[in-house]
Amino acid sequence: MTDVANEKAFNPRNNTFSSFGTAMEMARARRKQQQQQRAQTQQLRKQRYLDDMYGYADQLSRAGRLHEALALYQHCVEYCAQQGIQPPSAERLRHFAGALLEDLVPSMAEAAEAAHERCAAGSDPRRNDPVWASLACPSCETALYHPVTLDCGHTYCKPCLRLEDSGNEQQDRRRRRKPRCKLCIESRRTTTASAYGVVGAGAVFDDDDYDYVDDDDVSSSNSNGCNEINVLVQRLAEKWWPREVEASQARHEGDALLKKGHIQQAFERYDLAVQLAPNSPVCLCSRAHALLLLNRPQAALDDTDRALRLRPDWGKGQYERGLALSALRRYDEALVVLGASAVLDKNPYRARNEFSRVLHRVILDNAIERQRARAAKHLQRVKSVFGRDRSLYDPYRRSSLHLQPHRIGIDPLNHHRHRHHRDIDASLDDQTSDCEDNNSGGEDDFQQQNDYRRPLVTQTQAKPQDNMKLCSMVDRLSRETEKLKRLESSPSEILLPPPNGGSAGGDLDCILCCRLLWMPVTTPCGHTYCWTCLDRCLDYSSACPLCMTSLADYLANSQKSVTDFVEKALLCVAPQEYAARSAAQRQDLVQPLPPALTQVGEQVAVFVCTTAFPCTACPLFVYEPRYRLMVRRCLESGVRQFGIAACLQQRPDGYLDLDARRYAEFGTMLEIKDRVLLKDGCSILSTVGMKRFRVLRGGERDGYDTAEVEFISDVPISQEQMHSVTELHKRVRAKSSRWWATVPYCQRSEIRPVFGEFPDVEADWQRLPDGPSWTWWLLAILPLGPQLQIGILATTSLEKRLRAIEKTIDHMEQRWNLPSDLEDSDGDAAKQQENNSQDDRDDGSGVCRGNHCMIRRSRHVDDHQR
Amino acid sequence: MAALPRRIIKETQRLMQEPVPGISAVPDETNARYFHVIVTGPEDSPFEGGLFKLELFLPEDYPMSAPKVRFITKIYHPNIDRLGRICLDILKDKWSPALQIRTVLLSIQALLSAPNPDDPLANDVAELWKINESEAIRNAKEWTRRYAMDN
Ligand SMILES: [Zn+2]
Ligand SMILES: [Zn+2]
Ligand SMILES: [Zn+2]
Ligand SMILES: [Zn+2]
Repeated sequence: MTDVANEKAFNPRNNTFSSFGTAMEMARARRKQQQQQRAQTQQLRKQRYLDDMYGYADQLSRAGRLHEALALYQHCVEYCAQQGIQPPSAERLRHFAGALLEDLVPSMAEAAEAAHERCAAGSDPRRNDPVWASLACPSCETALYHPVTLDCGHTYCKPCLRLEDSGNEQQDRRRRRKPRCKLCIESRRTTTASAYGVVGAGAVFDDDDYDYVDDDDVSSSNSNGCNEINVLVQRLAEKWWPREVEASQARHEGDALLKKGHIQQAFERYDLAVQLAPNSPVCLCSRAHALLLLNRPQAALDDTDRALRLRPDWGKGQYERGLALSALRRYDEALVVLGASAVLDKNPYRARNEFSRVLHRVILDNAIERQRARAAKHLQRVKSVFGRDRSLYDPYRRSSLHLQPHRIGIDPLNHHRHRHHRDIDASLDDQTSDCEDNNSGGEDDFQQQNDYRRPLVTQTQAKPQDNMKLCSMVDRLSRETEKLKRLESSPSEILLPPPNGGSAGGDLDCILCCRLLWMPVTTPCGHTYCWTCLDRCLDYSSACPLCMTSLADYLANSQKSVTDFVEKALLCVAPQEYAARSAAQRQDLVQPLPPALTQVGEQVAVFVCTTAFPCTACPLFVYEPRYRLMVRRCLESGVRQFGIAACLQQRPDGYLDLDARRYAEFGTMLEIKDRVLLKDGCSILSTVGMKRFRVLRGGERDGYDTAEVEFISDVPISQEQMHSVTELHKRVRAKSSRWWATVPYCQRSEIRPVFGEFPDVEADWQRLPDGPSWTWWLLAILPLGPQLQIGILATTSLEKRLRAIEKTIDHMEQRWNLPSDLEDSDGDAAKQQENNSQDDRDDGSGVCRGNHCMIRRSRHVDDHQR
Repeated sequence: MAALPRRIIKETQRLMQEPVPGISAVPDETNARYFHVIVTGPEDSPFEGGLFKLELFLPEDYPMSAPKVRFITKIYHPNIDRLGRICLDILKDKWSPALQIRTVLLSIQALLSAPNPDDPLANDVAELWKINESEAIRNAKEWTRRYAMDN
């Protein structure tokens, strides 16, 4: 444009046909050009001025000087209006809205502290708290519709579930996205906050509750990662709260319709939900939301009013109410309500956004109002007060008066932030001087704004009563929210089982044990069993007993958790029975192995496998279902001991041979030192031999053997024998050491990891109940037949044991000489073992146990493989 | 012997209170895990009119393991052998702890109604059943008359 003007201005100069008219035109053009330039500079100046103002206001916001910041923003808006500049966007108020909310919302640390205090008040106050016991969906807080129990044990309506954040994309492609659990996330957050005592400034907050439309929910994605509907919970909910469940269904259907954009149909579903559950704030709020979308804000407001009467401390209700008020252009009220919503829900994103939008609206409206008022006043002044002392209207005087309360600092909003003030002022001074530098040399028509701090004060405070209105609104907001913060939180619906609701009908019985469920666990396929019952089933098969779905993945990937809903239901419906059941279960665990093993005639569980020796390691591989159960019981009861005895014969294929004892009369107690649980449920046990026992009577329990036993130990060495036994011990020990030294290195390195080093002789070996431990260590690695092993175990004479060792070593030293004459010729088993020993001894060393049999399996390998 | 699990007590109670039509199962007086079972031959089957005795035993790890069931009365059936052993998947690999005595007995009754010669236990019987069904059925009727009706 300038170029064109220049051309017009200069070309005619060389033109011979120039005339007065063209000269006039030129002059006009030049003037116009100058005006434009000036306008541009002015525009730029105004913009820069505004930017500076905003910067100052933002800093004031951040420092918590909210009233001053508010005044500044107000001034900016007005200035824009005066100068005909586009008013600032809502985005401009971000800092201010943020600071305002931060002042209102209790910090996370405070919240955590409050929660902590509540917990500390009683040992577990939640137990008696109806809120805690409520069996509603933790997400929507109404009756569960299509309940799904997550792996953590919490149950939600299926439509309420959202998938967990995808996180690392690469990693995620392999892993299925699972639904995330709101309760678990919250409890994690609370513990983290209280542990570190920090304010989670930049924390990302969940916003699910405010989503009617969300792409990330479970139903919209292929729900592979999601568990099936919990059949038991569904049955109970439909039985106990039929109307509420129906309402919940209608509401969830409404949500789905809304998501597809069918607002009218969604409204009809919500309407039905309200009719079914007229006292459900959630349903009312959903209907309000649909009404708002249908452009019926007054009806929406009525619904939210009802909802909030039922549940005053409900953030989402406040949010919907704020939207309705805002749609009705009642911005002042909307502002307070939205602020409350943000406070109650610990500042969800959506409420924040809406809050700053409305705040912006309020400030704009206020500015317009003020301008109108000013115009009216001006008119009035011109009309009637013309000629009076104009100093009365001197803005300086009034502003300086008004400024006092803010500066002195009785402001409730920023009293705790005084510390910051000096810094901020300092930095502001710096900034101001910078700005002045930039502006120096400017043209005179902007002179009045140049030192803008003074004019600012005059202008912003020109009409204090208007500003008072905004400030008082902010104060009111803080008062209202303070009040709300003190409210006891109440859930939307407290759903409890009806009195005498469940146990009579057997609703809460486990299908497997036919007893009241105990520590109920729900599988991914939605079936609920007692924890222990499910464990036992999984010993036998990885399929769910009811639907035969494979639970292999579930077992491999997750820890079982008690299903919260069912446990609460049990505690409500049948507290006494449940307590009795827990007691019975503990008894179950302890019964096979009472803590005092010293008495004669104690019951012990027997692992029928091989002979183990006292003081000696005995690694075991446990794969048979019944022994998995036995080992689990040992560990869970804390006893960690069971008996082991050699297997005498295979259990014949037929059944009903209840009387045949299949294991040796003598055995050893084993103590579990370590257990490695394999993925398929098998486990490897590291055990060590303890006391020896003799079986008095055999028994059976849930498929594994038990025995009534008496413990045995060596007969004390008499004074007369002491000398000879000591001599014998010395000789056999020397012989054994010599022999051990001849064992090839490779074999020794196989034995050592399992059985350890050749033990030293104990100082008090003569008085030990099982004699010196080295004898047992040696017996464990010597190639002895099973009958001989049992015989040696049974003997209570150290002398006999030493002689047996001596004899064996003598035989071994004459290579290839089988120790068969040592065998008590007692039937087939012995012969069979002899063959085995021969195989084992093929390397000619005489050490029978190669790597492959270091870990002993129970004898029923065939059963397992079949 | 440990106390009888509640599961067995409940199942027994229910078997007594609401018996399965055509089946009676009574626990032994001395052993509550041992049941005397009588199954009546289903209508429209070669076993019609017969009363078949069976024994049923609940092993110590029932319901984790299937009950052991055996025909005592001789029966001409492709899935039941000379010793009375029954070829029925739910008694073997298809067993689930959610199944009950009742379901097992119902399955056995159904097996009498619908013999399955393609999954035989008694090979010669199955063979004949496949080659000459009418003769096999005649045999079955004959056996039923001879062994399951004289009482
Ligand atoms: Zn829900
Ligand atoms: Zn959870
Ligand atoms: Zn159970
Ligand atoms: Zn299942």
